[in-house]
Amino acid sequence: MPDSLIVLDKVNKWFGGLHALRDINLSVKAGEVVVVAGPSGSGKSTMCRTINRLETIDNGTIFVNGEPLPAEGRELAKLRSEVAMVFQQFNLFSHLNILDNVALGPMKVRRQPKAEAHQQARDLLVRVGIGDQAEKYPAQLSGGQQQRAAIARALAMRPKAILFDEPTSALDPEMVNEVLEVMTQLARDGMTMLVVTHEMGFARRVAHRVVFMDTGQIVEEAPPEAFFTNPQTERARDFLGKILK
Amino acid sequence: MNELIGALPILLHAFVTTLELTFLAALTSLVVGIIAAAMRVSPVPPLRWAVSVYVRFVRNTPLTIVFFITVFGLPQVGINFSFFAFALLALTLYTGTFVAETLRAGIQAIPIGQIEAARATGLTFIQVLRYVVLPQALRSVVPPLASVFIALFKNTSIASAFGVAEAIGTMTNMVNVHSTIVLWVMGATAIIYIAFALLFGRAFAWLERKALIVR
Amino acid sequence: MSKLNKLVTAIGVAIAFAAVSSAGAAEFPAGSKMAELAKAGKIKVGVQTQYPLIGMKTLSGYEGFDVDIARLLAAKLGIKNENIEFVPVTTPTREPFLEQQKVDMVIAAYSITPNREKVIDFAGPYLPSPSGVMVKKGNPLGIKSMDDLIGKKLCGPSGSNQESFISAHFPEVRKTMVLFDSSAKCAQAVINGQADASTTEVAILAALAKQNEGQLQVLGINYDMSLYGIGLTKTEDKTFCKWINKTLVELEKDGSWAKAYNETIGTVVPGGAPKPPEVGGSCPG
Repeated sequence: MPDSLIVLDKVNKWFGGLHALRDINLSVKAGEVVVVAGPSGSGKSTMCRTINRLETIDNGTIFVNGEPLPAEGRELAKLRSEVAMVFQQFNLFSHLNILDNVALGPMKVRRQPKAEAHQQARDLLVRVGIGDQAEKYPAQLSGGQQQRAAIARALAMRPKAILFDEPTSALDPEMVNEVLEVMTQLARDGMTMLVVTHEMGFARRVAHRVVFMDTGQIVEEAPPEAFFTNPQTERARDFLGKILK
Repeated sequence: MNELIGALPILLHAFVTTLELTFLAALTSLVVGIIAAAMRVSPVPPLRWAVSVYVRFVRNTPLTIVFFITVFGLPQVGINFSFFAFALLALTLYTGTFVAETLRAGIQAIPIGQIEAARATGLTFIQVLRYVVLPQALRSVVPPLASVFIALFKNTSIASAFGVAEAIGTMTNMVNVHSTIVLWVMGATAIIYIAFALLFGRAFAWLERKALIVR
Repeated sequence: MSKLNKLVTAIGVAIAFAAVSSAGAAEFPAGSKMAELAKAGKIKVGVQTQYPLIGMKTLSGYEGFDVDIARLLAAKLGIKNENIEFVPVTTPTREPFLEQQKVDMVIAAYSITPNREKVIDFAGPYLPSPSGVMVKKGNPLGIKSMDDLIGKKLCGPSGSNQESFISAHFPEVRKTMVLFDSSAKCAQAVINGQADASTTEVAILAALAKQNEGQLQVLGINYDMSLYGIGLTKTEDKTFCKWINKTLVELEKDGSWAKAYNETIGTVVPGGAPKPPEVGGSCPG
C-alpha cells in the first residue's frame, strides 16, 4: 500500500477484560474519505482515537505516512499536528476566543507569527461560515458554530488528514446539516478524512468507502453504494435495518 | 486611649514588613506551586514522586518547625541568608505546597476533552500546561487561592519568632511597655489584620470576576 | 431586744470561728486573700516556661527560682506542693490574667515598672535581675561595652524587658537588634553566626552558656538592674501584698531564700547568693 496515508496493521486493544479492538486492519489513502459506521460500543471511536494515540494500543502497528506511530514526546506531538482531530464535544479551549482557538496551534506548534496566524484563522472562519464570530468565546456560540470553529482549528494546522469522532452526535438536529455541509466541502477539496458517524446520508453522498465495525472488529468494508444496497453480512443488514427504518 | 494613638504609627509601620513578606511570599509560592503542580501531573514518574514527597512532608509539618529547620538548619550546612530571606524561604516552601494542591485540584477539574484537544493539536506537554491547562486551572482556583494567601498573610506572624520585626513582633514589644493597654494594642493589631484581609478578599473577588470569562 | 442581739452575735461569732479553725488557718484575718487561699487549700501561680533556672517547664514539671519562691509562699499558706497549679504566662498575658483573676499571683521574671503598677500590684521585689550580653566563645568581635554593639546584630527576646530597656537607653543598638521569641533561639543564632551577640537576664545567659558548653561566653557587661516583683490583682487594702512582703523577709531570714537561689541561679552564676532586695513594691512599709 505505497500510497496509504494511514495504515492499521493487526491492531488490538483491551480495556481490562474487554477486547475493544480485534485485529484491526485498515488503510486510508491520501485524499480518501472513509466513513466508519457501527453500533455504539463497536470500537469505532476507540479505533479513531488510536490513530493519533489519544488511545494507546496493546499490539499491532499503526503507520502514518509510512512511519510507525511514535510513542511519546516531540515526535508524537509533531505527528498529531499532521493528523488533526474533531471531537464529538467540540472541545474548544474555553478560556480563549474563537480566533485564538484557531490560531493557537499554528503559533505555538508551527511558530507562525501572530499576525499571519490570525489572518489565516480569520480566513478559515470565513471558510466555515462563522467569520463574524471570531471575537466570541466558545460558550457564546451554538453547538453547530462551535463544531465549525473546531473544524477551522483542525484545518489551521494544514493537516495531512482529519479524524472526525462523531462530529454531529452532540448537536441539536437543526445544526447537523451546517456541520455536514462544511465537511462535504472539505471532502470535495480533497482532504483525507476518517469519519466516525451515524449520518448515513453523508456516508452515501461523500464517502469513498464505508467501514462497518461491530464488537471491536471490522466486519465489512465496501464502497457506500454496495454497502447500503447490498450488505454482505447479517450484522450489517441488522444495523442498517435499525438505522435506516 | 492617647497611649494607644501614640502607639499606632509604630504598629502600622511594622505592617509594612508584614505586607512585604506577604506579597513576596505570595509571588514566590505561586511560582513554586505552579512548578510543583506541573511536576505532579507530568508523565515522568520521578518528578511526580519528588513533588509528592515535598507536598506531603512540608504541608503536614507545623509552620514553626518549617521555620526552625530553615532558619537554624540551613546555616549548619553553610547556607546563610538574612532573617527576612529565611522567613521568605520558609513561608514559600510551606505555602507552595498549598498552592500546588489547590492548583492540582483545579487541573483535575478541567474537562479531559480540553487536554485531548490540546494534545491533538500537536502541543507538547509543557505547551499543553502553559497554554491550556494552567490558564484554566488558575481561573477556577481564584477563590481557594484567596484563602491560601490570606492564611499566608496571617502566617507571616511566625516570622516574629525568628528575627523579623513584623506586626506581631512589634505588638509583643509594645505590650511589654504599654502594660495598661494590652488588650487595646492587641485589638488594634487584630483590626488592622482584618482590614487588610478584607481588602485582599476584595481584590481576589475582583480578580475572580475578571477571570470568570463567559464559558 | 438587746439580749437577742447579743445572742445572735455570739452565735455568729461561734460559727465564724468554727469555720475558720476547721480550715486550719486561724492566723489569717477573715475575708483576706490569704484566708481564702488557705481555706481552698490550692493556689494558681502564673510562671514563665522558657526561662532556664528562673521559670522553666521541663518533662518532670516546673522548676527554677520563681517556682521555688511560689512553693515557699504556698507552704506558708498551708498549701501542699501538689495543690499549686502553675499557669504558663507570656508577656502579653500577665496583666490580663491578673486583672481578670485567672491566677492568684504571677511570679514570672516580672520586672516592676511604674507603667505596670498602674494596672496591677507588685509585692516584693524578691530578686535583683541584671541583664547581660553573651557572645561566641572567645568574643571574636571584642565586645566590651553596650556601645560596641552599635551596628551589630544583638539578639533578644521580643516583648522582653531588655528590648524595651535598650529601645529607651541604647536606641542606636536597638536599630540593628534582631528579635526571637525565646532566648534559646538567640543562643542558637549566635552559635550559627547569624547574630553577633545575645542578651537577656544574666541568669538565663549563664544557663544557656552551660547547656552549650564551650560554644558561648557571658561577658561582664551588666545593664538594666531591674527588680523582679510578684504580680497581684490590684486591691485597695494591699493585705495580700503586705503579707507576701512580710513572708519574703521571713524566708530571707530563715535561709530558704538563699537556698533556693543557690540551687537554681547559683549553680551557673558565680559569686554566691546576693543580698536580697529591700521589699516594698506596691505596699511599702
